[in-house]
Amino acid sequence: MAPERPLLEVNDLRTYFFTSLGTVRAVDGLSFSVPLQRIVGIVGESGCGKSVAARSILGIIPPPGRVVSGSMHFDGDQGLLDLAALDPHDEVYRKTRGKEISMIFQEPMSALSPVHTVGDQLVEALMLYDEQLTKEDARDRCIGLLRQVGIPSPETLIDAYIFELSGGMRQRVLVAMAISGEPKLLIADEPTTAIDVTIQAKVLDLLRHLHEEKRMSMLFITHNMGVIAELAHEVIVMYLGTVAEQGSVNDIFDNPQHPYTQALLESIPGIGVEPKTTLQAIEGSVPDPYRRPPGCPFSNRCPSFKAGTCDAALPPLYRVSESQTARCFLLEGNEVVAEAAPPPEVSADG
Amino acid sequence: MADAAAAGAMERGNIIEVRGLSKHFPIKRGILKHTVGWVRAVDDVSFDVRRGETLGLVGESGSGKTTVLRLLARALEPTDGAIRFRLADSEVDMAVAEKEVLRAARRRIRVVFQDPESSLNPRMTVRRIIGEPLVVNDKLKGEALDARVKSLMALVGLQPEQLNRYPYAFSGGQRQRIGVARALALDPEVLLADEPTSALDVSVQAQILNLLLELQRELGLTVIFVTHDLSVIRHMSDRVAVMYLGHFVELGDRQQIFDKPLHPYTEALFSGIPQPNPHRPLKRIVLEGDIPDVAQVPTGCPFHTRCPYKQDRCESEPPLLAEVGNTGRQAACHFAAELDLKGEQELLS
Repeated sequence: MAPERPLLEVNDLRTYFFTSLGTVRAVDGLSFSVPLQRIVGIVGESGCGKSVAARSILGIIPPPGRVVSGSMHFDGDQGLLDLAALDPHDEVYRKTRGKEISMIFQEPMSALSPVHTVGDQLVEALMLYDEQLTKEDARDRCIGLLRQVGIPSPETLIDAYIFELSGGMRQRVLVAMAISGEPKLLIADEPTTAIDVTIQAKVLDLLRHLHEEKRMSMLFITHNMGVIAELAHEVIVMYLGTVAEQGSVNDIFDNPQHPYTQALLESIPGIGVEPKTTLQAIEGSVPDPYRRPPGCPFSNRCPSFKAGTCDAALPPLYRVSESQTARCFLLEGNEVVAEAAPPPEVSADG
Repeated sequence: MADAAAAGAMERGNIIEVRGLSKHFPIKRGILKHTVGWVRAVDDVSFDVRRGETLGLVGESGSGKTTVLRLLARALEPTDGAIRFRLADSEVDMAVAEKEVLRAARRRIRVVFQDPESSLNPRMTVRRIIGEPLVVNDKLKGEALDARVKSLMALVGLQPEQLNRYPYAFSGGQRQRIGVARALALDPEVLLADEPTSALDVSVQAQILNLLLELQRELGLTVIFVTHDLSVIRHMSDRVAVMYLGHFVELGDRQQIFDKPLHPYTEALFSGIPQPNPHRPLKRIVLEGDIPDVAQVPTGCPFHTRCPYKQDRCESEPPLLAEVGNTGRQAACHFAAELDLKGEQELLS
């Protein structure tokens, strides 16, 4: 039996920003796929390109940024689409975005309108997805959705404004909005970063519950290794716009191969780390996007750095096991899954 | 001096004694700005800090942890209470100290801020940022000033030759090192750290935590560390205070609290930490409802609206922070002695 076609297959995606200071290669040769009914986690630090990757999929990259090459095949209601080849304003893309692929943003306060009630905003979304829907039906559906995401007394809360809600409630409204079109793929960009621990626990439970109930595929973006361990089936570790390592959640946490993944895990003061002792810190910091180190992007901070190798070329993607790959010369000798392709010559006007 | 007399009864070994500290902010409405209510950001809090220890203050947003820190530095005027410091050369009550006394005390009590992005003036060189307290307080200038700034930069792991650079030339982690160097310029005894690593990346956070631990060992600093991150609190603190809606709900030795909390809120907090281990997720204690509005703190125990162990008494009778049995630990719960709460290890599945 041929393996099932993934819901989303991103191949060698490159999204660049053409600024007056130079070109920022925010996403530079990113490949991964989201299988049906799975939760894929993207983890990385600021500037690794995880949010730009999510926005590329939705076709909402603001100028001066642009998807310059690669493909993003999405297997949706309208057949197999290459989102990268579509114009973001295209009718087909607009039918996909929001309905079939939806997104939960990090800051509910800036993602929701302060001058419309919760109901107004949700009803608008619902009526956009289903043109036959009457206003009354939409309102009923909306109350149902709010109940589904655990909002108490949705009949009254539907007429509240966002500023009247607590942080956790706002995040729930965003979740309700994101699932209103019954999306096939839900992208969550740091949905719990701006909220407190006890509320974060609830939002994570809600997302897991929705995934189980609706068999919805999810792309979960975070910088928190703990959240990834808890929610994701598969993990992608990103660094400076590209994949450092990817594998199943067990691969990444039990058998990390890339020095960056190893260092990330060791630098967290988790259970089992003796308090008040020196932590394994990673030297230096994420490089300035205008001054990328030559060769491997992690080479200037890597504890296993080999001069002449790591700073000479970008390593190819090596196979570690059936489910795991990593981009590091330490794995030389392993099967090469994909050679490192050089960045294309592009200019601002394409 | 009245301040010294008030502080005379301080217990040996304590560098700070806080008694009945409160900060209430008025809520004003209408054109005439009538006061319609009060936000009790910090409400009748008492605790001691021992010389040379790190006290971790942990809590969620609105718990009052940052307000406590600001009151300790008297960056805010307290509504009520005493904040007694026993410094090397004087004893002061920061809550009532007058200008000159306050100025002298603030040399010994320094703050490291959360966001190096906004706490460093982008138009000043590192020399001026780190050197300013030295110029203002010690009237240092010229070569003496440069020498001192350079030695401070070396102390926090910055390259001294970069002293003429501006903050933008440094990464987030290096900027936080500049903030630490500035705080250390006047040889303080007490460091007040307000979420010093929250704005930093994971890989850089460890560097700053290491730096703070090392400096504390070398310089014998007393540190009060405020954060919402429980893993960081566990790593940095000797003793921990857990705050909820302006109150201390639990205070005690770090290891004991993480092994066996005495307050239901502490237990729920622990159970909410996502563990970087896919095989052993925590047993979640999901609390009912959200954190109440600080302007409308529930009657009785402030936690009773969300507490899974709530009883009738909790709705009307506010529990006081008191020692539980003979444990030497304090908790503000009527049932602290009876409840069998789970520590971090027991919560792991």
